[in-house]
Amino acid sequence: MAKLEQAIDNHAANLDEETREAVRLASKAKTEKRVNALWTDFDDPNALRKLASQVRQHALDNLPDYLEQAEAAFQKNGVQVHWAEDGDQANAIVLDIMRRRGASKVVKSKSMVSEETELVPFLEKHGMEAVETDLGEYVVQIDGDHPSHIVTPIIHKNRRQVGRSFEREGLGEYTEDPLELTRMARRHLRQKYLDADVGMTGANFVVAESGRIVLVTNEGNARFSMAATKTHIAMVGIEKIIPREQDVPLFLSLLGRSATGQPLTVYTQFIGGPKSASQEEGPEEMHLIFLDNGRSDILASNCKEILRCIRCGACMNVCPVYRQTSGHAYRSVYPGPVGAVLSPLLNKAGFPDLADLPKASSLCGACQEVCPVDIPIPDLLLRLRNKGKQEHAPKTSINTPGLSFWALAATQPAAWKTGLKLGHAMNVVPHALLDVNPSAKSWRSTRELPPFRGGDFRSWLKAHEKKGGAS
Amino acid sequence: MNARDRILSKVRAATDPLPEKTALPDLDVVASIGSRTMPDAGDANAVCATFEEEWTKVGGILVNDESELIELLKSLDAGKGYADPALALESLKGAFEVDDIFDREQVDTYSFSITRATGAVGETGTIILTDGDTPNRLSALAPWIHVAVLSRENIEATLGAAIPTFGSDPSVVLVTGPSKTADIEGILIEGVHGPGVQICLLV
Ligand code: SF4
Repeated sequence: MAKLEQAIDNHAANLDEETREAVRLASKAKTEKRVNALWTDFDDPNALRKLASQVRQHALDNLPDYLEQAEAAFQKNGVQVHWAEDGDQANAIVLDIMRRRGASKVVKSKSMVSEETELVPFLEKHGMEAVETDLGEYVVQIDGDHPSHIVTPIIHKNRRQVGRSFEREGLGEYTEDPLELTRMARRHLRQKYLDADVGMTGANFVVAESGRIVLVTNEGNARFSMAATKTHIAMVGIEKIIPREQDVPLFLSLLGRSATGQPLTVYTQFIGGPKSASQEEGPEEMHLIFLDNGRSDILASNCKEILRCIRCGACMNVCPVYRQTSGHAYRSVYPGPVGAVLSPLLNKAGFPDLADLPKASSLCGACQEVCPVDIPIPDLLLRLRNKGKQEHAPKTSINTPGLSFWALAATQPAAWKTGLKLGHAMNVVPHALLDVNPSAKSWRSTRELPPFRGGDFRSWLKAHEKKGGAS
Repeated sequence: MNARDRILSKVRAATDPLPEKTALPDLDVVASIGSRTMPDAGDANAVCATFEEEWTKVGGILVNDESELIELLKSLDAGKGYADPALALESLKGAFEVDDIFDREQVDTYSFSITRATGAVGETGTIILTDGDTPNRLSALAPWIHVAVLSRENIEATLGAAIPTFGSDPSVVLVTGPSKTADIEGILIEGVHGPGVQICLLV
């Protein structure tokens, strides 16, 4: 029985009321902000989405050329470029750079890619101190937790929980005042920046033409790590390419508004190389690690459109399933609709292990409607459901009542008629009897069967014909 | 084959068979996207007025001369500060203790810093800081109050128009208001790692 249940349903069923309410309210507020920002500022935001989608798809269709162009442009800017096929290789490259630089402390700004490679635990295992500097990510780190949203990592926590964590870590006396909590983090993390040897970041965009990465934060943490440290390492997925620097404003317009309702994120950095010679602070070395980690396989698959994603989080904010289940229910780095596509494909333990995620959707289409790069997420979910069936992934079939009965009935009129008669029996038979069939039981555990009202048409028609067809 | 070549050959194998590749939209089409706040690039006064309005909207403070700045800093109880020596703010130095070297051992002793803005973007209310015009990156970031001195002539209408002015600077930072977060219950708090008060002195 247990093995037939959907993990995501179980998670949702066991979610405490406080978390559910926090996630629901925050996602709803963000969805409204996004709509307001886009429709107040543009006559036709959909035209922007289509254009951005086209630029990203062009970059992906021509990815090998752009990657080579980017590599050359970065090298010309004095950036050392590295390539990693998977997370282990990427982590090893970071460790190697740190050892060569005699570094032992790294301050890290939020980056989903390093969540994917599990960089922080890896570095800690090798005796390095690695500190998350984004406020939300810092809380996640000290709590030994995982982010539950790609933009707002602690959407599932409230101020009292943060207050208790800060008290426990010795940042100050317990308070539930978000202002005071933020000040505590400011004081604590400031010293971490100043003591650190390496600043570790991701990138929101990689500009092939100019050899610059574009990086946005509201808190200023990425900027701080690049002001206080002597080495900058950026780890980026190979799909992050934007062809031209003049394409960047379009993407920034969409990213800020889609993620947080801002026309532009507070700190938007264009970084291309180590600090200039006259600069007193900042990295003397910049390293860029291009990470594949399954992306080239996705590019070759029928789900390649998901690589257009710019990680704005709008699809999870709007998703009715995400709102009910929260991010941890997706058991992976990327939650929500984008995660339902991306996570099974990137999963280290293989696709079948997360093959249930593409089913965690009512296919309502809201995710595609809000997506700034117009990814047909519902179509991709269907393709992945099909992939699950083709590959006989057991988790694809969980909670799906078998269709074999239906197929039999639909092809044989006599069976169909009997079935309809039996429908009435459902109204008098206790529904618990259905539980002899495990998938029916699991389906029924979260749903009420409505009274059966069909099956009368045939007898009505017969009687009607006898009466001579007059109405 | 090394990791680079293996990745590139996989990516090539994935994209080579595509029957048709999506075209790259023309630059003028991409650049024509402007929001309702985009000012007329040809009208310098309009560009400046839009900047002032948008900068204030994102939580930035605007001052128009040195004496106004001194009053503002006093009202904020500012103590010791740092100013980029290239700025030659003489009356300010009379009113406050101002260092012209930023000492990283004492970052928290500076209550304000004053550095140059390379430019600005009207449409979004954004100031532009670069490595070339900021002698010390930490100075523009660590103190609670940051003042960017911006010349009116250097305000561009849009980010697209500002990009060519970046040149080959390795660290261009667009700052749109004070540092902020909404990580805890979505409540907006200003002044996380960077300045809590972001001032622009227009000259
Ligand atoms: S799939 Fe689209 S909406 Fe979802 S995070 Fe990515 S870009 Fe944003």
